Amino acid sequence: MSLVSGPGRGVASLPAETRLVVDKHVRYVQSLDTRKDELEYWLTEHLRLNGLYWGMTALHLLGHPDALPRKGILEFVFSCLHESGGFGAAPGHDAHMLYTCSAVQIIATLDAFDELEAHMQDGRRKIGQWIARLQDPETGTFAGDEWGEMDTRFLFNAFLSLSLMGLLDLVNVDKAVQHINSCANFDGAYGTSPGAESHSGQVYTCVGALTIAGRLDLVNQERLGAWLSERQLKNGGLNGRPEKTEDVCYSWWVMSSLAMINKLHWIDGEKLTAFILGCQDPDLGGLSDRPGDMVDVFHTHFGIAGLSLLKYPGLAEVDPV
Amino acid sequence: QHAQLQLLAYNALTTYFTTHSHLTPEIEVLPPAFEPNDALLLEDGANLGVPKKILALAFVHARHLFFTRHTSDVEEERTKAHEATRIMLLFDPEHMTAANHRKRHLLNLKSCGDSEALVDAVWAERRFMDSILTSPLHRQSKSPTLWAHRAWWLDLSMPVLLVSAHHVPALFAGELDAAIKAGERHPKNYYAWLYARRVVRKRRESLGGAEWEDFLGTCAQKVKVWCMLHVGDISGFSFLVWVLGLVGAPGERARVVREMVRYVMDVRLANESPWTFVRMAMA
Repeated sequence: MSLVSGPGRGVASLPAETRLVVDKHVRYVQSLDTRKDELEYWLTEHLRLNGLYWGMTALHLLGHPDALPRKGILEFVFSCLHESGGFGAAPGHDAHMLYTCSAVQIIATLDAFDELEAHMQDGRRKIGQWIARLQDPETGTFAGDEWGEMDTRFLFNAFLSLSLMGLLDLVNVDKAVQHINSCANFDGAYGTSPGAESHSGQVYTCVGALTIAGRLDLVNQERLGAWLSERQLKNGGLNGRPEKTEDVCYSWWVMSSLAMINKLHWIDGEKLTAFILGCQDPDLGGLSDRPGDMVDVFHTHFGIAGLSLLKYPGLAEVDPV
Repeated sequence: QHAQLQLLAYNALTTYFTTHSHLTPEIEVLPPAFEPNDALLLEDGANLGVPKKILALAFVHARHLFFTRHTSDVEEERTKAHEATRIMLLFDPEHMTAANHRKRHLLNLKSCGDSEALVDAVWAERRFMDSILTSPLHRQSKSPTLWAHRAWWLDLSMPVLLVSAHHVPALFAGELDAAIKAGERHPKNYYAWLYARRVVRKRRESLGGAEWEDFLGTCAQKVKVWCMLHVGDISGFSFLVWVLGLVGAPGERARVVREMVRYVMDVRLANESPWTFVRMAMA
């Protein structure tokens, strides 16, 4: 995925880093918003709100929560809020669960629900209701928006957002849980819908949702743990599915899933740490999907989150969900 | 000058799309080494090569045009926005707002009651989606936004096409083929194969009994052969396991698994995917 990308090395011959260059990453994230004139800015507009969440969260994990101005962040977030209670990726963009989730995560991280109320009366409840309306009464899963695409990603987005706002009672949790259960495959992993291909990202969303609902008893933890541990490749990196190449973002999807089922030790943490560190751009900051590629804020965020799960010194602790 | 170049790029691409809207152009994004010297685009009938730089410039103009017009009360303005979405989605397949505008366009035609215009638009949309999803466009062919858009289109189109008595079985075969072709363009194409599952399920709704088993059998054979030619593709194998699970005849499933095992051993494949297939098929 080519997301809010920064000036990268693009050269595979640099030596692997042995430490996290925190200051460089902080400056990298800070620099992202200042490139308003560049083509890049328009080209990544369709996920601006996600990008803001990734950048901000990375800074929090790096121990620099104030490196981006709170007021500026909230101003932008609120400018994406529709009357209906849903958020778009940027001002003028259609509302969708993916951006709504990022918005709620940002507001929760900044403890800014009061500011939300000041911006929109009864805002928290309105957002909760927008989300709740997207649950499919028949299957229990969630659509992403009015156009009806259903995906366990959106189910997780809904659970996460609603639980952060204390509004999980607005939806039928049991029905949603039943749906996730029907998405379990023979290999112990999960897909977007019943019968869909197993995928680490979907595993994270399904197991995450079950964790929020307190129903990890439904997971075949041995089988899933085995499938997840098979994601580690010889170079220490993790992939998302059999025979795919490693990508630093799976440091999060796979590891957090393992953490939720208490099998974090089924992955070689040292090798993975070395791999993640090798994905850094030691000069200009940021992380890329694998060593030598161009960095972007998406991979920066998930690489750092992975390091936090691995208890890398100096990072704030991250909740696997 | 920048703005002028953006406008030129936009006009060149828009003109191409409009004059070829009755076709399904195969589109490629050209790296700098292959840029044409004397023109903005490389056109060869139904084949289009657009330099990455030109596409990016056209996109910037397209998005500006789109966002100033897409919620207009004036139909002409919304149509201009609709034209712009072709370029927006070609460059940025995850642009949901652009894709949604195309949905609204079809819904408007439906509510107008002009069934001929709607049928034309339905087919035109399919040609556009085929261009973006089955051309050698690496990012586009795997786009969850575009495949979801296609799924929505399929739901809308079925009743429309049934009413005008178009050949439905051929439509489904075409949809399956499009998913498989996209699977070729982008290996391990999660969303294309997800769409393939959707097509198969939807097919069942309009078919019954023996015809359904025939369709499943053909589908399984087709994908089995595909997997043998793409032995590293977990998505293809995953789909094969799934479709075999629907096949009624118990012997059929076992036969395909045996064929695959024999093939893997004969060719001495070490790939994870075919063995994952065997494990899953036995489960």
